[in-house]
Amino acid sequence: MVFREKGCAGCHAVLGEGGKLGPDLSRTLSTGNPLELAAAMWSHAPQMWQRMQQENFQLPTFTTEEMEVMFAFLAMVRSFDEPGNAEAGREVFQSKGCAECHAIRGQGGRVGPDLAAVASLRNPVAWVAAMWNHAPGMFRALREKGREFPRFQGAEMVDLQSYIRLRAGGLAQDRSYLLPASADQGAALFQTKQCVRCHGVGGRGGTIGPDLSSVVLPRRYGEIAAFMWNHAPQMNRQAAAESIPYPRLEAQELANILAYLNSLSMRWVGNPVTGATTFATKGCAGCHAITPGEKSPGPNLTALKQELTPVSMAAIMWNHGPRMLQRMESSSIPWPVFNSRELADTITFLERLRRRSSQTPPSTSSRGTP
Amino acid sequence: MRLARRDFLSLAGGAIGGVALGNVTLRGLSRLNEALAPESALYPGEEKIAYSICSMCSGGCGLRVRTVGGKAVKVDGNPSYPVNRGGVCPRAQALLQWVYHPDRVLSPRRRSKPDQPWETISWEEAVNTLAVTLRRLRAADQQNRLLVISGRGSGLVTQLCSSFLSVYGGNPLFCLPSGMETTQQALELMAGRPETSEGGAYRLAYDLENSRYVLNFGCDLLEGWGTPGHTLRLFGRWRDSSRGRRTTLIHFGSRPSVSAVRADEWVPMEVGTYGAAALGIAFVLISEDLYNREFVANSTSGFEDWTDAAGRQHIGFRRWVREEYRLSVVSEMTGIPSETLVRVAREFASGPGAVALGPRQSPTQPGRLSDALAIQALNALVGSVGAKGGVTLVPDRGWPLPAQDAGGIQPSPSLEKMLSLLEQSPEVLVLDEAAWLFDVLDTAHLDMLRRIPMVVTTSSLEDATTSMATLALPDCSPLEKWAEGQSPSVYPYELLGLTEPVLSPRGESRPWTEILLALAQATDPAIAAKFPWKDLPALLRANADQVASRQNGYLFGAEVDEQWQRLLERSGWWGPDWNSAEQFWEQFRTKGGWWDPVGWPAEPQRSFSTPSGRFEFYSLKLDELLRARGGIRAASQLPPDWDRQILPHHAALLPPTDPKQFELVLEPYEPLTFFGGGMRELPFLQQISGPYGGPKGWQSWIELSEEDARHRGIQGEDMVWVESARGRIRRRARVLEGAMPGVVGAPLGGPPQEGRWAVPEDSLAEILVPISDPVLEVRSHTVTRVNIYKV
Repeated sequence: MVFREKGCAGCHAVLGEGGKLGPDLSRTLSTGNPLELAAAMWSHAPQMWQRMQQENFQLPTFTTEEMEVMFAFLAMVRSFDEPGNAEAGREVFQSKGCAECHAIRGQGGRVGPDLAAVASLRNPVAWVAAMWNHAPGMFRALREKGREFPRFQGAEMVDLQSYIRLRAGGLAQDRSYLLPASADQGAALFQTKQCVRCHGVGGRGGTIGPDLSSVVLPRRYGEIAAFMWNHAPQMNRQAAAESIPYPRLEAQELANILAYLNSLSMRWVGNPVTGATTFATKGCAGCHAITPGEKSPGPNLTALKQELTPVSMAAIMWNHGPRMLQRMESSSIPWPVFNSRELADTITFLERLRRRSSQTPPSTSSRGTP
Repeated sequence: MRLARRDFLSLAGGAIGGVALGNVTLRGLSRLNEALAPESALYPGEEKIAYSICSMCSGGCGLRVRTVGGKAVKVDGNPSYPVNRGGVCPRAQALLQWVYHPDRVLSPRRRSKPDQPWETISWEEAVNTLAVTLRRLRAADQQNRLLVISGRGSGLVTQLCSSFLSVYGGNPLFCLPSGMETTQQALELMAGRPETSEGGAYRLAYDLENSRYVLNFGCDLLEGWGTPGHTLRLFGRWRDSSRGRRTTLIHFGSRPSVSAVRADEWVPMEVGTYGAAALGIAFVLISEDLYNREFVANSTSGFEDWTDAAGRQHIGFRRWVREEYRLSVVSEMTGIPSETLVRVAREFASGPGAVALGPRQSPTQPGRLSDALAIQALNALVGSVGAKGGVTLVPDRGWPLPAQDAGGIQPSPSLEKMLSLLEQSPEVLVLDEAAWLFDVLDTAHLDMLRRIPMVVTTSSLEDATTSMATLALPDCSPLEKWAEGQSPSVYPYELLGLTEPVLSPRGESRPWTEILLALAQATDPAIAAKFPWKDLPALLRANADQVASRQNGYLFGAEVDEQWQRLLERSGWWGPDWNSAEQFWEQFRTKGGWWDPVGWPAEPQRSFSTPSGRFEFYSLKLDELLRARGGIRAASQLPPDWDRQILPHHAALLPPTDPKQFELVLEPYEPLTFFGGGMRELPFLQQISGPYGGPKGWQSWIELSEEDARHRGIQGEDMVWVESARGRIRRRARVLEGAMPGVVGAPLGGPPQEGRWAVPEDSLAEILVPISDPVLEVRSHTVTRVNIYKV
């Protein structure tokens, strides 16, 4: 709603729907981490403002809450899978040898179930959950047939799903979806399903498998699910060796676990010492005082009332930025561009200063580490 | 009234919510309104806004009703209702004239014969009067002597009534045809029925919002086709430049209808040649290799010559069209220049999102199967069957309760079947909003209805059904009861609408749904057991609980909500806006309904539930049906030209009457104001019934070309005789500039025949010669040869 009401959709599409003046915000390289979004917004802002002026768009302002909601929206849509390509899916179905075991509407193999029966599953995560639970049987059948375990890359899983729906015809009309995933529930499942016995997170947990907080996962749910699927044989072997029962996952459970894993990439850490340097080298100190009581052309940043986070920073920058830009241009000062690392450090640095000056105890919701 | 803001637009402008003045002044209309309202025209009191669902036709648009001091003073569209998103047609605007009509029937009544005076009775007496008779018939195993005819569209009331009849004795409910039946049948034969785990009913659906190029074969798009509020809104969007693209509409037809003159191009053609025109376009697509090769090659059968399992060779659609429907031949048949067919065909096939509609698809003239097969073949040639911007059949789940058995009796739109039941001496006839019958039945058939001993009407106005009734069970107007709606005709999405009553019922009127539930209780305990709900809210709540448990769809919201919901569902997620059945019920009522904004247009269908699993140019089901009907058991018994009957083809429409005796062809049509019958009693609708200037008084008319008028010495507004082989009637003549010579347009409907504003006149049905489809054996047309001369 915020994305539409503020007019962002007039320039930016998501998943192909919306304006074409700016990039499609679900298809850029960012993972959706708020730091990356804030840095991209910051660096890109002068171009945006100029274009909006040219197009006679009114410049919106954001409260921190509105910016938070919009960031959550952008993070969410980046995790959505795009609709699959049925033609590509046909290729996948043939090249992976699926038809040897599986029929679609009676045409194909009879070893495994007819895939038209699962054509109603709309979410690739649900597909992977069905496949995951089915995997032990598949391992046996593949061994017997001397076939290699099929692995999926990129959007292959989604394309395959699309092809099967196309072939299933009317049987795909009964659509079933998943509820939006919960990272909190996923964190709990990560424990109860004993994933943590093999995979640590942030150094806590098993070491048989990689620490999942340091693995770069794909950002789309379907691709993460396929990533997990590809590891199923290895995981199965390791689990057996450790006497860990093969975990069966309901589709919604898998979605929640993936949401939890996805959320790991949303964490960030900043270095206040480096942040201080960045603050100086970017020229911020030329306009903004950071000693309590000191006057400066721009606001004294220790006097800020609200906690500094990537979201609040983005809101402040957006609302304040046009005036900043105008004054900078009149003084021939170039607009400073930040990457996410630099922004993280700067925010951490400034937040520490702010807290010291206000002697406000640290918020438990803060993601930054001073 | 905020007269300063009112913008009276003519119907010919295709506008929603306009009123054409004709010869009536604003002051006159104002006085008319005051005359209709029993109290003062000024209503002191609190202003409120409430929501309802229109039932002036089967479209069921969402309404926003302004009330002051408890009286409804204005009706507009509900912006949150997905079907119409704030727009309404003039019929909804006239709704208040129904609510406050001085000829409202406000209490149940009874009389021994139609020519006897009415006696007001209580509801208990009224229900018992009917229940006693139904009980007796059931006990004597004569349930088939109950005949119920309805004019309502699909919805909970129809479902409940149909269910009641099914349980009572396996009787079908006869209902007003939607007009889509023939096209639906054609698509079923060629593409198969939709399969779902629930089985049951299905309906035709078009994704016109995403259509780029629309070939319209005779449908009155702007005069009530499909769902008027939805179609009119779509028409506006097609021309909305902010969309970035404009949808082209080409209208094929023989009359300069409102839809024809507002299209991007009107292609005049001979009456009854839609199939030929479609096959002429197919000829170009095939000859110039413009058809969708991928779809035809991978998803169709019967395109090329083929041999069946018995070894018999069949001509393929490709060769059939190229040999039989060359442009010169089609041009001769249809009167359409070859160049026009070529140009239109090339435009049609120039990109995705092309769709062909038709033929006709009006309730009284659903069109012929052969024409419909040809038009669906066009859709297949461009790959639009089951694709975005195209057409398909979708499951029609409707309301979950009362539950419909997969093998249960479905409502029947067949007039012919209904007439055949009249031969079995029914004892009870129930006419539920069935004034449409008087547009389609002649005096002889209406007399058969009048001879039935007990005729029950649910009409809330004095109309043609009340004149023949002996028992009146007056329904409320839509604003006085829980209003429910469901996916209307041709709408692509699944939808259920629900609103609470806006007003208290006037007088003693009661919703027909409540009466049905009471009748179930009063007739037989076995029937009562199947309908356990004590009243309508209880039934609605039970329905809501079932819908809440389905785990899909959303409650109504703004268009921005819709866009987000589609994004979610496209990626496989469903973000419900309720957490419990209680919450769902609460919001279902207050937000006005539930729907699923993601349907088949999101993904193309390329697998069909036909015997071949493909779209069949040569329908194997039709082949089987005709063989069974002809008693043909072996391929050797098939006549040499057998394939001609199965493949899409043109067949002559008019019966063999001497064209020299009757020189003109009369083509009836249904203006928006009377589409689907009924509503003649509303003054607003009478005033705007003529799109070519207001009528002089409330009279029906016929339209003829300048040439035909001049040839007969007829001038505009002259009274004329319209004579067919069956007889003659009087009508006022309208001379239309640009109309095709040889074709006479005649609107159905007309002035009220009962009540204080009755204007008796001959019914058009007296001279029409109904034409039945030879395969479907239902009425397809009422096109009739006539002569016209001055009175």
